Amino acid sequence: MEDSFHARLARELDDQPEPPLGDLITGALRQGKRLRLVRRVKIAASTVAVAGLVTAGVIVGGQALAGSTGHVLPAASGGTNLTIAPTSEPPIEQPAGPKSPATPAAIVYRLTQLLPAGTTSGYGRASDGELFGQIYLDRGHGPGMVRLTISADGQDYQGGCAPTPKCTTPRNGTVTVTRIPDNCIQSLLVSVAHANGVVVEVLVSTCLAWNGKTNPPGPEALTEQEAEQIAADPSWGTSMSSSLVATAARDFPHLATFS
Amino acid sequence: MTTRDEEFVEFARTHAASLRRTAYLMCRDWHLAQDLVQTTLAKLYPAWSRLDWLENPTAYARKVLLRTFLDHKRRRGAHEVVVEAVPDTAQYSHPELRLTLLAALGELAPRDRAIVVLRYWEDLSIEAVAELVGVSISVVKTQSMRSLSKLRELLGEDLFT
Repeated sequence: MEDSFHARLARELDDQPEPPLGDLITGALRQGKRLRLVRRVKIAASTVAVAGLVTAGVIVGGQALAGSTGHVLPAASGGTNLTIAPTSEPPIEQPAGPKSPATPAAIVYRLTQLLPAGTTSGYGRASDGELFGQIYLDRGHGPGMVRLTISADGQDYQGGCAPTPKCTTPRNGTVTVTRIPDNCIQSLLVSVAHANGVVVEVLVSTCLAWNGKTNPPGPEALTEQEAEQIAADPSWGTSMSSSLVATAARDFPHLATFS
Repeated sequence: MTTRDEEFVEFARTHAASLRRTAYLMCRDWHLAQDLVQTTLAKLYPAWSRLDWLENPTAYARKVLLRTFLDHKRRRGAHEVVVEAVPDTAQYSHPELRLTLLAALGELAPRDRAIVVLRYWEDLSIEAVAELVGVSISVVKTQSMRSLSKLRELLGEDLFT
């Protein structure tokens, strides 16, 4: 009976338009390296905490962990460095006032306020209900896609740099900039860690959302600096200004969904 | 790229498509399936150097995929892409309204669907499915029977004759 089941499913699968694998493997490799780096950092950090040597500078697993002036842990793989913002820097903190749970609509609405001048369209949210918003921005060269996600637990943000990123330690928390030329959705990723525990990631794409057949090309709508400024905006959080959330619900009651 | 990386990439190239098909059968969304497989392979990567002792890294990848899928369902309360509406079974006598097996699978609970996919799509043994899902053999048997019964009911026909 398994044969019948298998054969029927195989026939039905053959009828499904299966998209190409694209950059799945390079993306997995990149993501895997991040995971490995973060695990090593966590191991190193916990070892340091146990030893009570956080500010002294220690050797962990043959790697140097610097002390009080911003912690730089040279990773074992490919010269990748994880840069953690010095604790003396002022954190990105949300302004006081009533808060409501953040929504994709609130993300989209806030993006319309933060993006540079241009025509916006293509408002969307993730189909799985994550805090993920999408917008197209046309600055005179056609619509370009920008997505922003708020990660509460840092699970999606691995805290490290991909193999060829530029890591900086700006005034307002840790920033990770990653370019993935062969991934049009994530051509440029800028992640900023906020004081409220969230990591905000801006995805600047070189294509538009999947239209059922393809991802049409589009220009990068933001520079690295612009994306960083948006990701570092203090309004972001799993809770956001109640008035902003309410206005967003009114202005963006129905968003298209993307996977 | 190190030799380890090259081995990993070779493994990923060999198995990504089949893993994605399995993921698709579980979630019925190609893009989510793509994400699940990418996450699965990414999770596999840090352990890659320790996989020498594993006889079957493919089975390990399946296990990670299953956990990633079930975690996704639990953690995000994900709603699924509706492929087809499910009409009353009485309508199945009309061939043009017949539900696809794929859509019927979507009517099963995520874990039950995973059991069916692993058992009847991946052709894994009951013991292997039990080990992968982390339940007893009797649970796999019981849930498989119930799931198949539900599929038959939804499809209005005997799938397996």
